Amino acid sequence: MNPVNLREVLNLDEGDVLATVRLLSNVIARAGNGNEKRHHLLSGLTEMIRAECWVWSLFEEPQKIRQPPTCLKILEGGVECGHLAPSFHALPPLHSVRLKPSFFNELHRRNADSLRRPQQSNLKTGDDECASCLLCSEAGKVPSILSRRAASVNSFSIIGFYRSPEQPPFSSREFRLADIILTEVSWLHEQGWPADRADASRLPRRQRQTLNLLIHGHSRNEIADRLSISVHTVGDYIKAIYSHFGVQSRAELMRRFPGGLPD
Amino acid sequence: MPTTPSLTEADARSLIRLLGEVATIERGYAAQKSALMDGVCKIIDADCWAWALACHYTTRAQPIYVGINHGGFTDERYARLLLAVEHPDIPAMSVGIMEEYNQRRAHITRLHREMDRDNLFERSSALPLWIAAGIRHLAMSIRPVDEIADSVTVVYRRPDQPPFTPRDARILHIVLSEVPWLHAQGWPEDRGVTVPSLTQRQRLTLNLLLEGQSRKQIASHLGLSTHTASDYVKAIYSHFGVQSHAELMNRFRMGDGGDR
Repeated sequence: MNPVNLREVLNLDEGDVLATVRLLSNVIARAGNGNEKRHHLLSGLTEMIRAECWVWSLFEEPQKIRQPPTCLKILEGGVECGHLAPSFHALPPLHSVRLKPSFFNELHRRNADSLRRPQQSNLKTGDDECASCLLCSEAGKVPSILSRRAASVNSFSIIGFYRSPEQPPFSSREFRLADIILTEVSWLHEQGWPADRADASRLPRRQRQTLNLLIHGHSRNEIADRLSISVHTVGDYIKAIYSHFGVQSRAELMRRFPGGLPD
Repeated sequence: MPTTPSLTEADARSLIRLLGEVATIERGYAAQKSALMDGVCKIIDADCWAWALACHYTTRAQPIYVGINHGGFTDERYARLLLAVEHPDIPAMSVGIMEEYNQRRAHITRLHREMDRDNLFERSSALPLWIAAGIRHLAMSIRPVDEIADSVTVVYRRPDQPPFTPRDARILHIVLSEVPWLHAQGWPEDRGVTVPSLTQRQRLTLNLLLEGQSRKQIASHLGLSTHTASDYVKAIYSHFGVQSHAELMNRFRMGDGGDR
């Protein structure tokens, strides 16, 4: 845990705010679908907090206890470049990492009485209202910032930022910046893009999972593997999905979801 | 230079949330620009905003504007604003910002009291015109577009509201200066370089035509006969070498932001 400088924690650096406004302004100006904007914003934030890579994953809770959650979608940036790749790939799966509240929460808990600043209430992360929670993990000694948020009844989203093992841990300023952006820009954790949401929600659960994998370019074999079902069953699901959306081909289906993920 | 107030975390969060929301708007540049300005107005509790191209802006001369976009105004109220802006006391009331701007030629944002240091506003015969437009307080941001034109953004409050604070001006300035594409597009190609050679009444008519108002509406808003309004419209068409209202609007149309 970092030594925490209270001044640093309580006073937001205006330079950081301006840089964030500029970054968001670029994201807005950038033509592209939701996932491209997500990619741009998360990569920009990665640079601002001097992380090396970011990963976004959506998990669907298992129906049976003791089964791992199904990972529906991974977007990532910067994982393959730099020195991080080997240690990153050695990390345990995201959903199995034991997450603990960031030292922000700790700090707030410990200092709530001694702080008499109007901003103190803003120090709280993981407000119920946004159901987002900032967590830090020292798994594998890879400095990381993880943000988890419930996506719907059965699924949750985790966004992680990582540094190489030899790098210092993230500072309180960097935690705070990540927290503010991940809390306020609500769509970062959300599946899909408001405009993309076709009627995918009416599909049965397994077909919806298949659809998610399908429109992100996974083969029938890969989908069968991921969902632990036979390739034959995947074929049946795909037929049902095509007929649901009235399309003839995967290309046509993918065009229906320019933003990537349906709800 | 006024001292710079620092932002609170709540302000920073509101700004970031607003920009995040604007990023999900996929109806094009104009819609994003309007949503961003409407959102800023909400954060700083402004009643309405107007965006204009200022042609050949000089200290102490009557400012000449081509209205580009606005929010929170009805047609009638916007026409009243245009009339209030044309009052001959306006240059003296904005000398505080214009002197500094012409000296520095850099983007500045100022409160009403910094622009009008002698508080002429309260004594001027322009005051009733502003009150008629439902406006009492304002903050103004001005930024060079190029050698011949400036981008001017003004936020307004109603007479029953308190004046804007330095914090409000700071937030307005941050958005207008850190979101460069707000200014990058939407100007007529020739920057309205020939607009100053129109008469004052023709300029008013031009600004209402650019709003898409009919001759009848223009006549009523400017207190003219339809016949006189038609004469102005004809003179404007011939000035810009266009044959129709649509063609005129096209000449001044906001860009699509394609090369932001």
